[in-house]
Amino acid sequence: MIFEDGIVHLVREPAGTRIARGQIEWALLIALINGIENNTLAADPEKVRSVCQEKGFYDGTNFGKNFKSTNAAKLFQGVMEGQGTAQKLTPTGQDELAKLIKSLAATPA
Amino acid sequence: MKQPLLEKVEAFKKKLLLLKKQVSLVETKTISKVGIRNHADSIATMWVEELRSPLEHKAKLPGILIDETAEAMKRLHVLSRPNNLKKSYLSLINNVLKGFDDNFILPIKQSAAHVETIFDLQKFIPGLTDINESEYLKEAIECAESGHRRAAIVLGWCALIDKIQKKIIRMGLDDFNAASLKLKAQNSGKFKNWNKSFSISTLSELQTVFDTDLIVVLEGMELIDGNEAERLRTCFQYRNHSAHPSGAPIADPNLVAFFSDINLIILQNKKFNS
Repeated sequence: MIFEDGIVHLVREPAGTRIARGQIEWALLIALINGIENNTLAADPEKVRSVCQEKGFYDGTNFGKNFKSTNAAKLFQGVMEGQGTAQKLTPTGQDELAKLIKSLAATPA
Repeated sequence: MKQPLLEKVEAFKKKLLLLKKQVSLVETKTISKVGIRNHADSIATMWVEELRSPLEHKAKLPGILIDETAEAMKRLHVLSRPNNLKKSYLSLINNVLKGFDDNFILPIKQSAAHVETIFDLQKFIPGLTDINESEYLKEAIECAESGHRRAAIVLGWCALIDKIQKKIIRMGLDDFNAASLKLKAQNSGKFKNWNKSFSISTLSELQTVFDTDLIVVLEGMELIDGNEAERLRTCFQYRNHSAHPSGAPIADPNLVAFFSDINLIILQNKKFNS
């Protein structure tokens, strides 16, 4: 990860995973980026949608559903839904983010 | 990317203008007509599903503009529910349309033609000559676009040799033969060791001349200079590494360098187009 001119650039990104998992991983990373840039570990669902569309992890039909699954719902303090407000990470979400960072860091460049 | 995105942005603007017109014609204080509300909803959905991501990540419009428009579209989704105020619709639409062309259309139009893939050679090398000129070049570009780098280079080299041969034919084979004799006669300097001369009378015979010899005679004919000849020899190496089994890599930068060089030195060179 590189922090330059107030903007975070990711050196490693989620790859080779299923769409639903990729969407959640991007949501966690967007919360991290927001934490560094704006001091709040929160993800805006529409920001997540936008990135997922760009990165190929977007399933329009199941976008909202993916956030509502039992495993994903416990990562955020509120409901992550289309056109909804940004949601902060729960302690479980922060743990999951830490695991994700470790896993990305261990990925060969 | 540029043109399809521009078309989408224009369509988005048209939809907003139509919504403004529809809302303005309503005489009541609130909007309840299903048709208008559905239209409003479709605009907000178009932003979410089709526009925001490419504008944010490909066109790289300012974050603040994206965030403000995203908020407006979020609000439009809410407004599209029954019986919301007409003036709320109009205020929102006017805000988004204010400076729309300067905010959205102009930056996309002024942006360089972004290269979506390194294989999009025609964008990466904007001057890459008219592909209708040579079937070889057309096929080379198609190979590059499909990621077949070695095939692209081999065909690109064919396009280059084809162009050179046509130029020599136009100039006259006597000039070619004379240049080869002149080089052979040199006892000092760069060509002192050159001991070949040609007596070519047809295109068919010209096609038997080795590519490396062709480059030497081209220099002798002053169609290219010494450095250009050296660079063409490098391109010829790429061609050979592509056409024969070899461990030498042909990666994206090699491909772009190859086409950039043959394009500037031969294909776009005025001397070869007169």
